[in-house]
Amino acid sequence: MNLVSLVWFLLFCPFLLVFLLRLGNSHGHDACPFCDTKRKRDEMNCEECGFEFMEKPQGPFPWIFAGGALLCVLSLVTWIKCQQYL
Amino acid sequence: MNEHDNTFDLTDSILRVFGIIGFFTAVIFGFVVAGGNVITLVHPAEIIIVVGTIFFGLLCTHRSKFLAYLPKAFLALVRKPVANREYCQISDNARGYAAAGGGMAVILSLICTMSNLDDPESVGLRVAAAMSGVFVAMLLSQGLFVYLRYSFSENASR
Repeated sequence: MNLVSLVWFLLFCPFLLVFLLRLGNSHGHDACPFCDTKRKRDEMNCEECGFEFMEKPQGPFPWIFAGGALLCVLSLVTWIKCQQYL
Repeated sequence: MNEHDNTFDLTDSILRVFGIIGFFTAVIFGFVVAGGNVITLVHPAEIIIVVGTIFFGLLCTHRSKFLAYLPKAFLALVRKPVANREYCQISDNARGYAAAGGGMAVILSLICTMSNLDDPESVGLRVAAAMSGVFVAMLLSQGLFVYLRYSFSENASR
């Protein structure tokens, strides 16, 4: 159980990282970071200033990352409990 | 594009520097108050992976524009910069490279940990090293590049 929870924790670490990094996107995914022009669905360049967006505005990925981050934290808690630190 | 004046504003610069120092101080001070040792945050291998990924990723993507961006970015830490779409774009791309670097640092730490499960005492240290890579990536992405992206945007110049 000790090693199993550790392996799950390490496997889900990238999900936690990406989830946390995406939290700070203050513009969401629907406005240009440079000129704040409203972004259309599936548009990869801003019509106003030509800013190149790095990702599409919507999709199932936020929920996948959120689920992975949750599993990462849960497996970390399990691993720490197995270590009898608590 | 560069129609905004770049006159020096002492109050703006003081608040800018105070905000940046306060941001990093709050994070580190909170960690120390919680009983953490600052030295444990420093893992050279993780820092090399994250910073190297950002630097060389931006260098191969933007080339000479990235080299021109570097002094402007450092200056933007103490002085209000002129709005520039290219620099805003580089700052935004840097966030992506920080995420990639942090992710790779975690994956590589996973490989190191899996390769050394014979020594259980080192597992905790290796996991801590993996977490420090995530910390560095987040600090650079959210603390530095989000700030730079906004500073170089037209919104900041209004």
